[in-house]
Amino acid sequence: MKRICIIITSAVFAGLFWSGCQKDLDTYQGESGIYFDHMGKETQAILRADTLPFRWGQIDGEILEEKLSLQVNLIGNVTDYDRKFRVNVIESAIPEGLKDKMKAAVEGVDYQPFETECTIPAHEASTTFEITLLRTEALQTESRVLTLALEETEELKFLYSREVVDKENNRRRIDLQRVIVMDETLPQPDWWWGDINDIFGDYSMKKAITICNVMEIDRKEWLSQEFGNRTAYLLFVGQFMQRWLNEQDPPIYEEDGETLMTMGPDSQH
Amino acid sequence: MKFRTLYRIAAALCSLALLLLTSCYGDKGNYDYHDINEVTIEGIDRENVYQVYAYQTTLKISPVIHSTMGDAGSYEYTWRIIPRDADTNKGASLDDFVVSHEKDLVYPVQLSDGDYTGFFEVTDPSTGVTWIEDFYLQVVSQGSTGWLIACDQGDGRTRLDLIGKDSEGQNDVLYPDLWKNVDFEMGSPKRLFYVGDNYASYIGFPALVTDIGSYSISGNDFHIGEDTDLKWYFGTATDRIMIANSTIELYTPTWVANWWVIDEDGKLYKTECSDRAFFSFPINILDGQTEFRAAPYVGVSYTYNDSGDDPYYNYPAIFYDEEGRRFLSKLEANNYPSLMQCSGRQLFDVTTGRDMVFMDAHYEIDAQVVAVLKDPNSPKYYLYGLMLGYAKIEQNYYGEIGGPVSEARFFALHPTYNVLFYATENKVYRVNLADPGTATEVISLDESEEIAVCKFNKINNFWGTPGADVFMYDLVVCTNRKNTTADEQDIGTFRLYDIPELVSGSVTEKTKIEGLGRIVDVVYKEQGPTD
Repeated sequence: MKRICIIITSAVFAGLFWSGCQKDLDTYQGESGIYFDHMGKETQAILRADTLPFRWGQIDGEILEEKLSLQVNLIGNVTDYDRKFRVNVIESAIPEGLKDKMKAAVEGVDYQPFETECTIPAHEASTTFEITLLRTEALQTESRVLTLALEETEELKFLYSREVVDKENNRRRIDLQRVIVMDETLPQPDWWWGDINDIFGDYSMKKAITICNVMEIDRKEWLSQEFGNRTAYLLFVGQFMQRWLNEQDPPIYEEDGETLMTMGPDSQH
Repeated sequence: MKFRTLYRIAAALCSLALLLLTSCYGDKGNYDYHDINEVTIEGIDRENVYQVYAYQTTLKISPVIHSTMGDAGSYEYTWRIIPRDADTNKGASLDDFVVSHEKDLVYPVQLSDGDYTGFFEVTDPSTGVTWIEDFYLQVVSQGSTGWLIACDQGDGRTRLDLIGKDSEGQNDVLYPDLWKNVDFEMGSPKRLFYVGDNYASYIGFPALVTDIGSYSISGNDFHIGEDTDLKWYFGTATDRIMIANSTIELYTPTWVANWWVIDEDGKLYKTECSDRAFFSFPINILDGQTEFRAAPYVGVSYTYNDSGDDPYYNYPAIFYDEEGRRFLSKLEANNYPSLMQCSGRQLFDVTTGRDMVFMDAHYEIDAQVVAVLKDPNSPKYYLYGLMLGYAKIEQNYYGEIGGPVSEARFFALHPTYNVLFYATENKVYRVNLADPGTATEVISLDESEEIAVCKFNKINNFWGTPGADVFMYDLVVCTNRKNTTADEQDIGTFRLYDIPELVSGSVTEKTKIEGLGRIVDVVYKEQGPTD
């Protein structure tokens, strides 16, 4: 009997201790929403934080299409079933002063048609969708802009976004859309100055792109400081390019359409 | 009865039955006992690691063999040294790692850095039984320098021999056939040269030209392969580059040495001698107008003027138009060579009408350039002396060369003395630059030998190469035994001769190393920047 009493007493105490450790967690019970991932720039709530520059100029010339992945995040609860939403192409707001250099991207020309219906899969808190961007000749002179906007649903609403205010006091929720701006910009390499001007002449982006295309130079390598240190090789590139330019018919002109493209004085022999 | 007790009784009964059963087996008693030979090997240290320097240490192990039977003198021995990471799945074969079949190992270590396991195998040929003792070897590289000798194996491959020093830096050691296990078809050798600046700051490697291409020999393990093909240095090269001459001009106005190359088509290239070296378009275009075929020689200064001229190093480089038979020169500031203009007295016409067979320059003492030209219509050879100066050239020697020069196969200009040597089949003659008409025989070798190399070896990294102040002034003469069959390999002999300052002094042999392959060319591997 004594033993039975001890067992019962122990069980009661154990039950008390167990329940004492259990925590009541307040889980989110509200609605769920979607927003574009910040891409590591959480703190930047600036006007163009929703803009994604896509520099074709830094990609080798023979590559004519590239896939761009965009991530959409969930705010709210994950579920044990898929939830669908849409990403739509909307009209791009091109500033008045840029309209001669920037045009709206055209489906089938500047990007491939894509599946606008997306899914936040069951048990997942985000999803990505891909869009295939196309490189055209027109990018040499004009950039192309493509604006993608999320469309909310009953299950996935717009519950969160950073917000910016422009000069006209218009408020914009910048994480509900992404503005993809494609151009052929190839920045001037840091090493193109001083003696390199004697090899390549004055810098122009068209000249740099022509050099990279003709010499099949990887553009990321081109922009590296290490590449600029290879002066003897650069001299060969300059001399080769001048010979190549001399053979072109019709001749190659700079961006102004009037100045004949030439290399620097060291490449003239 | 408990199960455990039942189990114990059953096991006891089974054991008893087994014993009773075996007792019935009859022993036929057909035994024939033989003593077996027991061999023990002593004298190999298995407790410690043998630590050696690559291309500097001769590993010597003298094991003692004890055997209970048999004649130890009839045993066969094999020493193998196998890298720890050797993999038979990647084509490694045990035969590749044999370094000796002698009982006592005397092995000049020619292995790359790394850890190895050594095996000493003793085989009794009468029984085929082998006893093996192993040991551990660690190879460390301290940077290998020495004479590289390119030898023609006769099978379309090059045998590369190295004459280095032992770990004490005293005695010469021959490391034969460094590429024995190299799986790369480099071709038959034609010439060797060394590329490097005067402080080995940026670049330094020996290079080999064969009948199929030109390759640098990289690293302390003398690597050669597609990745060391020198065609990668040439923007205009296609599938190969055939280098006929490579010359380093140590002192230039840009303070970076020039690397000149003339290929076998007479194309002239120039780039900086650094880790940024890259050859652009050839510049064998007279005044940028007319292409010429350059003879495979470059005359440059190996010294500089420290009198205060600015820039110090503005010496012309001399070339020779093979078809126009004329001297050309080029200053650093000019893009192309021009017809050579000489100041001061005119001893000869720069358009010589003769064929260039040799050109070289002094080292450090002055900027003397000496060329030897052959008359195309007679067996006559002429010596041309040119003294380079600050943006100028003066003629200071000229005359017909005396002696049996029509039989000359090689010419060599002493780095400092005003003497020229030429070698015939097995003799070497000395010519005073001021009196080229008189040639004195200074070396006479056995008629069974044929001279394959006669040269002085300039050292670019002079101050960083131990011993350069001595051996750079030695005349290198290599010979091959004549009338040998193609499969006879160790027929080459390497010699160094001490050259006296007085032209009347006798030339004395100071080094002689035999047992090399069929020698084609020699170059000294200096201490490079990565060694």
